[in-house]
Amino acid sequence: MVAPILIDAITYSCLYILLSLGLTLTYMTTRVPNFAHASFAIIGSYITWTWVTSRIVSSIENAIEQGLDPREINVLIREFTLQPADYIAVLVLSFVVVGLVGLAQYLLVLKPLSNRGSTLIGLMIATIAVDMLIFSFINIYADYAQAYYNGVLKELSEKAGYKIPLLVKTRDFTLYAYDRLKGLNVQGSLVLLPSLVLGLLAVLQVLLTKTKIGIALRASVENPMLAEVAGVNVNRVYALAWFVSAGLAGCAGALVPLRLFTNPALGHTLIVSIFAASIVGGLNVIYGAFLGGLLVGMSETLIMNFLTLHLGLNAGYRPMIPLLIMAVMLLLLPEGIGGYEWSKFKKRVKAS
Amino acid sequence: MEQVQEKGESVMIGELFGGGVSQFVLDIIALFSIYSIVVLSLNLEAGYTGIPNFGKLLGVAVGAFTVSALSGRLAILFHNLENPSSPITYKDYVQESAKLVFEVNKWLAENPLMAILLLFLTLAIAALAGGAIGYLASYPAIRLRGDYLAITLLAMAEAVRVIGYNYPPIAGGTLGMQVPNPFAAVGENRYAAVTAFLALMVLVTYVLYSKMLCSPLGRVLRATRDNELSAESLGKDVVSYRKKVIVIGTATAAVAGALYAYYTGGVIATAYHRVAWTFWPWVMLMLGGMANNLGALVGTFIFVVMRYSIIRYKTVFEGILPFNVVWLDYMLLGIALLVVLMLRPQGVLPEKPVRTVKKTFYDADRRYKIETS
Repeated sequence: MVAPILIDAITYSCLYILLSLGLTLTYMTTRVPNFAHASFAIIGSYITWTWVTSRIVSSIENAIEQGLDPREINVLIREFTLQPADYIAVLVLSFVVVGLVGLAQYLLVLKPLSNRGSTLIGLMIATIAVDMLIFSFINIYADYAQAYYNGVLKELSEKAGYKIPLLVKTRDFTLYAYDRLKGLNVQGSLVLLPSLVLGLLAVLQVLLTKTKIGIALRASVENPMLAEVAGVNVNRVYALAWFVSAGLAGCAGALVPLRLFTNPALGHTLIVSIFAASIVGGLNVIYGAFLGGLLVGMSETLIMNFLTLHLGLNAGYRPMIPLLIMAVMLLLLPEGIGGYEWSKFKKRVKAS
Repeated sequence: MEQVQEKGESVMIGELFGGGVSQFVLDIIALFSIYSIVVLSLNLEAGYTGIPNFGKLLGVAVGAFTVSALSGRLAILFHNLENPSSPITYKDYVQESAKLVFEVNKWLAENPLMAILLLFLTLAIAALAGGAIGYLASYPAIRLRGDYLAITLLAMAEAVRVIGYNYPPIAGGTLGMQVPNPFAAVGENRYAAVTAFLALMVLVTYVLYSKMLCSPLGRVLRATRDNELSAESLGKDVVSYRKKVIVIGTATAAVAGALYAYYTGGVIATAYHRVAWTFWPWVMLMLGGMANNLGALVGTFIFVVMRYSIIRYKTVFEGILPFNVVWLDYMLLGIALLVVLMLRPQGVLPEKPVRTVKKTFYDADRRYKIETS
């Protein structure tokens, strides 16, 4: 059995790694910090919500058709767990859908704007505008979905002749109870998140060093003009980077409601920590996101836990920790842990 | 959390916009004035100096929190100094804030001079606190590329909000806090008096800013914005100018925040969020035109009138829209920004060359140019 605080630390670290990885990648290609990145993740969360809710509702529907009694339905709702196929479906769906949203942001907003010679400020504002749009759409969807599924449940209750003990809610919801791996007695997300991160590390390593597209990506980031001369379609490479980044955010977001209380505004709180993680790791180094995410995620949970336990500090101050780490980092090492040439540091230490 | 914010805001706006048409007009003028000050300060930072300040909330929140934390306590201190025989006593200011503020208001109604002193003293403290905190908040990233500074300021504004929310003595935590009414002496016509004062403050800010930006300082700021390297090569210390601008801008925003606190008569940390005090001012500025103070005012006016008309005539929209009007707000914000960026990035009133101060200088300068060419 793992200590709950360690589970929390691992969860947050993995979330931040997945999210800041995408943020770093898009920053490297387009040179604009994407303020809508965390809201991408929340789209994924609502995809998971919809998937799980529709699965539960349809299983209730089946049960009523088979003529199960109220107690059996109650057990059915309580015992419902996600199957491996569910996890895969949710992750793939989130990756594709959110990836397309990210692609749309790049192709429909950022690229036309930079073609028109928009400044860096203009582009940053545009990402905020996209964030606001996504936020409003998520909220509208949340209202709609809640009304829809509660309506369906009401209908089913009438059909069955008794009240089905399930109330659907789309704000401050958690799907924690449905996330159990049978036999292993652990949370599915606890296995999935770290393996997703490690798998990603391996895939990235191979992709960026061994494949043509990965090398093309690195070339386009380093020197777009030269890459174009060498026959790389820089636009297509950037579009791919945006698709993958948003997709990763979607995957991270899809697993968020399995552990945390989720609501449409969660992205607005997460974004600060994600930026902190990206900056700590280095905004110009892909692998930096792994270090930054790990550092920020771990320190946020562990330091806060220490402070609340031993100094009685209000847990509401938690968002301050990534900020302080980020501020210190900007003062000492603005290029980030990953961006600093550590060999220089070694030399300097040896010399002194 | 956002839900709470929405509720808090809609309650406040329900109170604000409940009255008749004259009350509505007054509210529009008051909100226009407060936002104008914020947008003017943002224009100084973003429009003239090119600092992408995504933490405008920082200044506003510091100003509002200064008022909530200090105004009542100071008023009680003054009262007790003047009436040592019958002092106002309290054990826990936060808990008793409503009762204490009621007593303070009675006293302020009888002592308008004290009320004015309190008002200007707190505004000055708010400006000082805003400037200091703005300096500290921007310090880690002031030397770096604009996007780092944007992220840092956004994060620091969040930090101020988090502290204001979690540390009750500042703004009463989750419950909020009452604020004394320096216009208590006016009695019934309080809103009219506050609004007139706010309009005056905008005028002062506008004139001061216009003077400042027509001076050589304005020219240096535009130079650092357009080409940092060449400004530096001419011996201008770009970083120190940026620091000055952040301090002035945040101090001005803090004054606006303090005024807003006095205007609404209470402070609650949840009302000071990123969307209302960073993103809206940005929309107003982009709409009106960057680096044009008149444009900033025009943009603010258009946005404030549009937004609060939607809120006032919400019931009309509720019939048409298939979703909650609250979300229309965010949607319009996003769409307005994108449309402005795509179609008219220079805004309604684009940047214009500065009018030179004295004609003789100008002629001399031109003659010099002709002679040397």
